[in-house]
Amino acid sequence: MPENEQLVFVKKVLQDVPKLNIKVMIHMLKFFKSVTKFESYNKMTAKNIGICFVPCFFKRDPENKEPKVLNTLVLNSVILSHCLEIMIKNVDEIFPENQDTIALHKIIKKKTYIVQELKNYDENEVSNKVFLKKSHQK
Amino acid sequence: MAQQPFYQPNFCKYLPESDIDFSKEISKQQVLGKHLSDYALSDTGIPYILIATTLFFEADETRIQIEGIFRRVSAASDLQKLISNLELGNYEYVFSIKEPLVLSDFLKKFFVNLPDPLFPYYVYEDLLKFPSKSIFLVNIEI
Repeated sequence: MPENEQLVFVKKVLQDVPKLNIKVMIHMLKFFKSVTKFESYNKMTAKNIGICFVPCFFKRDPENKEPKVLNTLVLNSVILSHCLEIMIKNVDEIFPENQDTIALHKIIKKKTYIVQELKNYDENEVSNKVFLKKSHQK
Repeated sequence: MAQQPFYQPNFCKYLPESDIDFSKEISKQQVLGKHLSDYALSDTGIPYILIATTLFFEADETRIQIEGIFRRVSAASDLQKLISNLELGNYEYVFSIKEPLVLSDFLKKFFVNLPDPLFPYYVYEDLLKFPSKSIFLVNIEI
């Protein structure tokens, strides 16, 4: 099966997924691609990472009333892991770079800055909550 | 974001209201099992926790080079330590960890515990029609 056809298929399926999920997907898939650069050391190829993360990323709809058959569940996870493998290999083609991803790369460069920001954010949130609680009591 | 009810010990009834210190209860935040949109998001719309964990690996390449990373699991006690530190908002603890397997394990736990999976339910059904050669081979083996 030509790869182009598979990529078009994946793009079509992911059209209506919420934006937040797409952003997290891109972030994680790009990270996995960077992990596979060291596959001679860690022995984690795109296929192996796909197998490891299928139970984390995909869940069967609990409202699906079809009976659970072990063979079909195993077959499903094989198909999905193959799908994840191809998504990891071709992240840049499935999700072409746009303004969002460029901004992301800029942020990743400012590593130390983010850590500081994290701290500030939490302190602010906590102090806000304390303030709200106290003002509510009065 | 809905506020969680605060645990109030029994003896608090006998204290004047001004003496009760809620700060310890308030500072605890839920780390696992929240919707993606309920996490503290960065400017690019990705939860800070995810950025922190991936930065940990990108900061030092030797952390990714461990054999079987993401496949092997870490000690449960180390993972619990990490989670309890994140609950208190101590994100700096992430960068002081010496065993990368703890964070790779945490990443998996993070996604497993999402109430709505990263790939929505209908994507699970749709992707099963994925065009591929290997599917037919597997079908025969089973």
